[in-house]
Amino acid sequence: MAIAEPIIGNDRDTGQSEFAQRLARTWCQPRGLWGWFSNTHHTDIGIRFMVTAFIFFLLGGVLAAMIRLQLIRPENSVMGPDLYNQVFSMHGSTMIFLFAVPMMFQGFGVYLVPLMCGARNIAFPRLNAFSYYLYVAGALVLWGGLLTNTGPDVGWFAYVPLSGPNYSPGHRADIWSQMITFTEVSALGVAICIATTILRHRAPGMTLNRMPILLWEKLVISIMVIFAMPAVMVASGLLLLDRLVGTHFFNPAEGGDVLLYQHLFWFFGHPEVYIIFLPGASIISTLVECFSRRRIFGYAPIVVSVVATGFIGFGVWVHHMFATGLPQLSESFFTAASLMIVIPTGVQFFCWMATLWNGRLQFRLPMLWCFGFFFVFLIGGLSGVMLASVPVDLQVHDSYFVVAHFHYVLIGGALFPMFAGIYFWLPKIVGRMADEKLGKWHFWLFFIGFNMTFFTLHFLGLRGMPRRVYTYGPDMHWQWLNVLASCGVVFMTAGILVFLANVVRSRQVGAIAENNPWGDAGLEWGMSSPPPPYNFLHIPTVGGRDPLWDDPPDQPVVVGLRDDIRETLVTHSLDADPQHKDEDPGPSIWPFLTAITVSAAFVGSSSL
Amino acid sequence: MDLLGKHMADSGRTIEAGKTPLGLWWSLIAGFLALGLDLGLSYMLEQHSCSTGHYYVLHVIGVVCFLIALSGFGTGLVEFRRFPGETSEEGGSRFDRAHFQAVLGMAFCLSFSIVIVAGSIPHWILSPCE
Repeated sequence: MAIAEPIIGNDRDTGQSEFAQRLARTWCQPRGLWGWFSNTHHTDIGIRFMVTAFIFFLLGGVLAAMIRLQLIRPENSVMGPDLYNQVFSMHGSTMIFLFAVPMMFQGFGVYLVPLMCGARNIAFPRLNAFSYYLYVAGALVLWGGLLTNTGPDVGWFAYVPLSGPNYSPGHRADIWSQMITFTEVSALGVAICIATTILRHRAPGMTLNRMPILLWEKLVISIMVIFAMPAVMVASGLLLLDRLVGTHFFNPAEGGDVLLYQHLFWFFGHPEVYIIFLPGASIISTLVECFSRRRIFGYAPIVVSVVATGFIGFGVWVHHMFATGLPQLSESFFTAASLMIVIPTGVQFFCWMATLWNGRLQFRLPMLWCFGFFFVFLIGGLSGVMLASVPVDLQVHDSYFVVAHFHYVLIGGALFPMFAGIYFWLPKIVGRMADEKLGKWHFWLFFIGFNMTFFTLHFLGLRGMPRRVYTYGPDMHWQWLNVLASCGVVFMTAGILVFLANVVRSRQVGAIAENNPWGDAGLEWGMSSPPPPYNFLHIPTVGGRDPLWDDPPDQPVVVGLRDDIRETLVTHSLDADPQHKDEDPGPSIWPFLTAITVSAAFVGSSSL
Repeated sequence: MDLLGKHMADSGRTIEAGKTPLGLWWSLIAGFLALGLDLGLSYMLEQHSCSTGHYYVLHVIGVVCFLIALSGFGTGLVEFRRFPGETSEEGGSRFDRAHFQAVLGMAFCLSFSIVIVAGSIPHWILSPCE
């Protein structure tokens, strides 16, 4: 590592094209199959996270369609109870562990954070690549289980005693438990990379108070991941020990405690909701500012809200356990905390509305998805306020009302912002614009289908239909609502197919994107689309919160970084003052090989 | 932009590069600490105070935690007032950054102290043991 003070100056008179070629040679990734597995650059790994997560979103969607097909009429026989249990467990596990977090946190974070920081690569790029391969290995283990009739059948939470050795013999629950370890280690690795990048690789001038909202949210989420994920790893690890080694952590007959599992699981599980929602909120903040053509209203209140959400999010987990017979005091505490967490989210909502209200709104395709988010997430939030109340929660517990609520929250909080973000950053990622007309078809098909399916589920829940049942009798009079809900899936599927066609079409014949087609203020738009392998010709400096709007054309850049090795700039975490130069480790096959070795150890340890 | 020059000019003042004054640190963490203590201690000691009839324990916890949060707000305000008048929430100097930290700290402390009060009021009106 070279330690020398870089210089901040202006070298626009130097021969940049030759300099750029030298940088491109230094930062290029190796080609071929070997090169593919050796690649450690954040843009490539970020895209892989997004593509892989989207594939699992499609697979999870197929499972959802199977569930709706089974429930479309009473006493249907498309699936038996055993397969149905596997299908709904796999649907939940896939959507949460293999899609939502890897897409919203890892995919967008790994791709965008270094670009928005003004860095040439993510911190610890090999750990980042290792995390990707470990995630893929976990996903393959889980789906390999389903294809060999050992798919988990204990729900996405695998409560004991159902998932314990007495009630779930075989390897189904083992596979679920070990998949958790894969995906959570992966998320932890990426959290460390992202937090370090934000804290130590920000461009000079990007002080703490000038960080884009998206970086604030990614930092908070990374810290949440670091604190939340170990809890579920402990839960799944203890479950594995109970199942494979014969310990009795969750066996009350031997002094264990089944509720301990639920506490550990939901100590992770509820922050997980915010780990999924906050990335969506960060996308919305970015887009609202861009398309309102004005600075975000209430920067400081939004930051306060995000940090407060991250903190309070760890104090509400017990509201998932209201039906377990808790003391009244703890019910009161967690009801209060659950209601309290609505406040920071409400503050963010009002700040977005105020930004839109006072801005010059450009109603482009990504904004359509933002407005979809406002509508859907608001409904999910309001039903969440209802569920935070113990009497209501006890009435509708384990009913389809809860299913409707969390789909409004998770699809509203993650999927709508995700599509907004994809349409927004697609020009940066592939260098071409998405088709707006197809995008609008995608939106309306999906929006109508989503509400048709999930708004209906509220009424099914209120009429008493329980979750996780593979069929129901005709005398329950639930059929027409189930038919309506299942019809919505057809619209959603059509919407997703239009989206896929749009992406393929855009990649091939879409209009060539300018460097900054939306006129956004973020540093990620200050380079060609797609980004060159070195990201920035010169590490930029920042003179305001909205660099591309605020900074003059002759804004100084950082010079003095070598172009013959992969040199990066390390800055102070608070003031982003240049501190020293560091060397990026470059491509390596070791992350891939290490991930294979670790995966073999994980799989071997769960096959005792 | 005279980025380094401005930082050099600031270096003779009270905030060092990359450092946060102690008062600001307290302001940033006091709100979180107070709320965490309020919830954690009340939960732990509820059984004891209900079985012995020492309800005042829960009231004392609420008051102490409220004061902790308020002290964080106070130190944040003191630090905030010590900054030069030209600091802004968005500027690039260390004082601007510290100004922003002070705003965050005061906001955390104020909002969490309100939450603590809102949680404590029912303890005075209703019995916490029913």
